[in-house]
Amino acid sequence: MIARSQNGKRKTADRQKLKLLPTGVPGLDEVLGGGLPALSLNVIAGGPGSGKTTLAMQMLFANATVARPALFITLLGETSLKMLRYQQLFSFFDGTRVGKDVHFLNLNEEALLGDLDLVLARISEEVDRLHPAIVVVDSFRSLTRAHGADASTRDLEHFVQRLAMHLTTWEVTAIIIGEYATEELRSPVFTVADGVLWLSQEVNRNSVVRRFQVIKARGMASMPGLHTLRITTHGVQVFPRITQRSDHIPATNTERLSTGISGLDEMMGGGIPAGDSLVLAGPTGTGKTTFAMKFIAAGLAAGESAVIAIFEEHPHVYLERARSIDVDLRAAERDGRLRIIYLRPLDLSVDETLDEIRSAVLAIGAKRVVIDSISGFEIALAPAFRDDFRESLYRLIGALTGLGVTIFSTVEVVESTGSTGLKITGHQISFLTDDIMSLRYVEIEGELRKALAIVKMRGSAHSREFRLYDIVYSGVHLRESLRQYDDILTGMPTRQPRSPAPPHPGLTEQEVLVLETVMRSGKLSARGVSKHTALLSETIEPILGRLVQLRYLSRNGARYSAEPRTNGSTELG
Amino acid sequence: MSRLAAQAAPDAARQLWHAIVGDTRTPEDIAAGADRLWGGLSARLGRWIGPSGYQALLDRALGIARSEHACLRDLSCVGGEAALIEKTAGKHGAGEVAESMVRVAAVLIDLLGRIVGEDMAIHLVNQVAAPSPRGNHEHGAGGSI
Repeated sequence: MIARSQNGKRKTADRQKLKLLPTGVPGLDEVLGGGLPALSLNVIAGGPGSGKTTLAMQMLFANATVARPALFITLLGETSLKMLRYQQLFSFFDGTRVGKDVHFLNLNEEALLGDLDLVLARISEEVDRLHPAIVVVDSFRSLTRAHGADASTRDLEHFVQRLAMHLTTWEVTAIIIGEYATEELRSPVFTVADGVLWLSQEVNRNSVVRRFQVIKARGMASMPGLHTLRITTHGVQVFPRITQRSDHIPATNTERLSTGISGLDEMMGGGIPAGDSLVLAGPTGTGKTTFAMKFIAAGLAAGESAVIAIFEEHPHVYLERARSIDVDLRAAERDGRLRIIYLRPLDLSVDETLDEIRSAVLAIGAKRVVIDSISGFEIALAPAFRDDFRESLYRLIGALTGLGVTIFSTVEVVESTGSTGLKITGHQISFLTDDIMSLRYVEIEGELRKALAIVKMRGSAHSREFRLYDIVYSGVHLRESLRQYDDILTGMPTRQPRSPAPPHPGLTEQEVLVLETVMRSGKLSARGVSKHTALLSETIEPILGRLVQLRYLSRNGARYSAEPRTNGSTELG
Repeated sequence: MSRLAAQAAPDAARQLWHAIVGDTRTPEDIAAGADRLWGGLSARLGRWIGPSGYQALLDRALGIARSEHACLRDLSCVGGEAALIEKTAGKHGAGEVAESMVRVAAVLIDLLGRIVGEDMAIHLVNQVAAPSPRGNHEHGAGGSI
């Protein structure tokens, strides 16, 4: 009995569920919404060399069994000899299965006669004999051409419908391969088909990009849009175009990740909020990669796993550079807690990059991801993908933060001395990120120095001062504040006498008030702080908690006391 | 081509001949065996590469083997010619005709191997001697490859 809700509609759980077959094509099941519906008639269409036959062959090998074999029927497409010659080069092609659970049939001569009834009779005969689970017909387009230019659409439609009916009756999942152009989408075969998969190639400035699209998938919640397709020695791989954040929503917490740089966490109000995407922007030579390496090293030291995606340097060079600043990443890489992904081809797609990073993150349970750099990433992309780089980057960052990882990206900006205004990233991508840190060159007393500032920390208090820093053997050494200077953004600051800098950069006024109250009193409870500051206890509790987290205070029972610490915000002398 | 690889096609052809024809030495049996061999290959390979594709391979193999076996000059083709093969065996000797048939098969396997790889070629040809899948509706001696 079918359960019905009060309005008479069938409940979702009671609806007929389609049995889905795995395609054997990495990424394709995800795009199709779970797999290929059993007993469906599908068309794989596209231009020459787009990977149609290989795609179908993978599906065929993925589903063939001795009890329910697979049958590949050649009409007027690639000759069987050539097909086998080249298809067996792919790793999925198991030659020992040919003639056992994977069968080939050549109907070239029947097809050349243009007699559709004869072709149908031969297909029916073979299907009846082998009782296959999956049948591929290649190339259907050639058959319709051989049928003659004068062939009526009705004849063809009739033939396709009879073929579909026969195959469904025999409980066969069918794949028809055809070389079609987009303007031929009104062909009857597309009307009858349950699924239409479209493959294409795009040439742009010597770069070839393969694309995949699900035009039609009856009964399936397939992923819309153009997906990237790549053909390797393992066959076809589809890289799904991620259109939204992952379903996984990280738990809201106040966890902060250390940057690994003394003083910088305090400027950020305790470190980088877990799950954020931070962009570090700066001109060449300002130490962006060093900051990124320290961020990774801090995570590894805390027992976390991490992924680094690099686009410019070879991993070997990258690891050597890390060692030069006292960061040894090799052990973590050997232990499987660090994955370095090196992506340098000039015809990459964002989806391929995302797939690589996501797979690595999931494989090792990474908590931190470094993308070094966004500029190199853009160059590594095929020209066709550079036009919508911002949108693609948005998808990539959204998908990764959706996994709960914290992303630290570097981006190079071109800075000209004397320019006014704060050039953040040069890619107009700042809206994509939660946090932005800017590095720049400044001239101080005749010396070229480096300065940093926290530009943005979404939903978090942070220091607004410029701080000088040096790249030293141990990494990054934060130095004095530039509070005594104006015109820092021009690169040529002018000195202005000012009152001393606030002693606790990165803290809010209320946090400073609470901290100084505790420091004055030596030891104080939350109630005591409330009495001295006139702040409500519900306001004070989280402030005390954060000050303990930042190690400004320590807690002993109900009482808080100040932690001795060094103030790194020394004024210029 | 290495010596080992060069020997694979002749070995496969000889094994196929023995599997289908056996050790028979009379002209009648040689002719009947050859008919089964070429019928099986035609059915198996023809379904896969098409009858004309198979015929093209066989014609080339026959042409190459003729330079080594004079008896083959009396045959315009080998398939479906049992009576002619029997007559040729009577003239040149059953042993010589049997050897020539094995040689044609070896060249055919070699030619096929150059296109699809030796392992695959031998794998496909060996299926002629193997039981065919669900052979209740077979045409000829073989089934779909």
